[in-house]
Amino acid sequence: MTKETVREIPTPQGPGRAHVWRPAGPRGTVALGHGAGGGLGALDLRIARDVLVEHGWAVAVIEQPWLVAGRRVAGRPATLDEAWVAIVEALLAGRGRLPRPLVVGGRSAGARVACRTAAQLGAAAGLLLSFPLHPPGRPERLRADELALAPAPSWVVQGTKDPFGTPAELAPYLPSGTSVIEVAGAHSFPVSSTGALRAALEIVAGMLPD
Amino acid sequence: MVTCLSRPPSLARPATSHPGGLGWMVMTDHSHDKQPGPAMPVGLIETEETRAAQARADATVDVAKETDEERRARFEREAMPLLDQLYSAALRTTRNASDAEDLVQETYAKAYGAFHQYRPGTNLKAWMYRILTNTYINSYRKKQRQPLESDAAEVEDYQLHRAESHTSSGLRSAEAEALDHLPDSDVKRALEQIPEDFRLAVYFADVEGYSYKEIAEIMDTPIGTVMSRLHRGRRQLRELLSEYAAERGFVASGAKGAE
Repeated sequence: MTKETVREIPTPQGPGRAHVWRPAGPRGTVALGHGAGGGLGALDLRIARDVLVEHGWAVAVIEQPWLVAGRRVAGRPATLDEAWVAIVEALLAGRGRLPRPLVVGGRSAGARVACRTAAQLGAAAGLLLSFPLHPPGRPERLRADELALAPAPSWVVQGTKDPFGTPAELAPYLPSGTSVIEVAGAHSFPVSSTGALRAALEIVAGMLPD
Repeated sequence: MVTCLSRPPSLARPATSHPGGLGWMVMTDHSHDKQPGPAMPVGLIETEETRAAQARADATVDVAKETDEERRARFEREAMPLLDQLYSAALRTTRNASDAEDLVQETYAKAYGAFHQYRPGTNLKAWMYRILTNTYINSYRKKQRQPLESDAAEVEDYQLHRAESHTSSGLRSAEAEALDHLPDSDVKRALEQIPEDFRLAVYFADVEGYSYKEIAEIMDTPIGTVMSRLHRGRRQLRELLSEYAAERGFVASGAKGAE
């Protein structure tokens, strides 16, 4: 049974937190970010953590400084990226550092942060949960340029009816090294999706290169 | 199925040779490639420089001008070194050596068949992982009852698909699709008349059944804004639909119960 440890880490945006689960002799580290709603306990994040730890990965769920500070609204993308990079780099450095290879990911807004910063952090792979390709009802406002920055390889776990972009909408914009796994559901997954999410994340955990 | 869950140690990390029993239909006459051992004829020793030069040539090859034989040789040079890594992934995913071998074999066969679509110089390993993932999901779907789906695009034609998906109608949101399917045109017209932010809030709450918190996350706004939009959206809908309701015999204000 792997226990959670919580580390507060300074960033230029104020202190953030890393919630870390580190099994013995980890294969590498998966850093996951939360969405714009701030749900650290989102079902897909929780299941991703459980499955990846079972597969021997150290998992760090990164809490953005805006959430630590108790604000209700997420910061602008550049501030999210800055804090995220500072926290992940701190986790990979110093005594007791988490090992590479580094897999970056997160859900929704967190998945976008992971894509934008993947090259800077030298990420070996990506895990994108509910990637928001466009705001609901505004399919013309695409974030395909950010999806294009996904690490290679990456895996996207996407709800079949996600108003931020269905798997079919994502398909034409996927980088050639990015796979999509569909799970019945929309942008956030209800408890009834537990089985399907677990099956999807078991596939990702099996596939992730170490 | 329960008996094979742990990895047999001998198969956990195939070191230099690939697992036995793989019928490499796509690669003929290369059995010497993978044999370990130092006794290589002097003329065949590859130096770092020749390997690097070959890799540069492979990364810039003009696929259109390549012969089948050249492509086969390039596939072997580039894809075969990934075998151990892909096999490890297949074994972790299938948890069973024979399924893993089948999966890797099918993946290589598909990759070889689609290799003309692989863009030289890009990340081949990631491209192969995508084929491995989709191949696994497709076989998984045959065994289970479709709880999961891969991206529908087959590797052989995903690039065609990429081109075709940009239809003139554009990409539509689930919400727009759902509105199209609302059976009653009066309700639909009313929904279309209210401002988009209100409409989305009403749609997410009353059609999709999301909580305020979920809608806040979806719309990237504070919960208070969601509640306000929902309240105003519903009120506007109620006004727009009062006539409709009267026509249908629904009672506008409290005279009798709605039986």
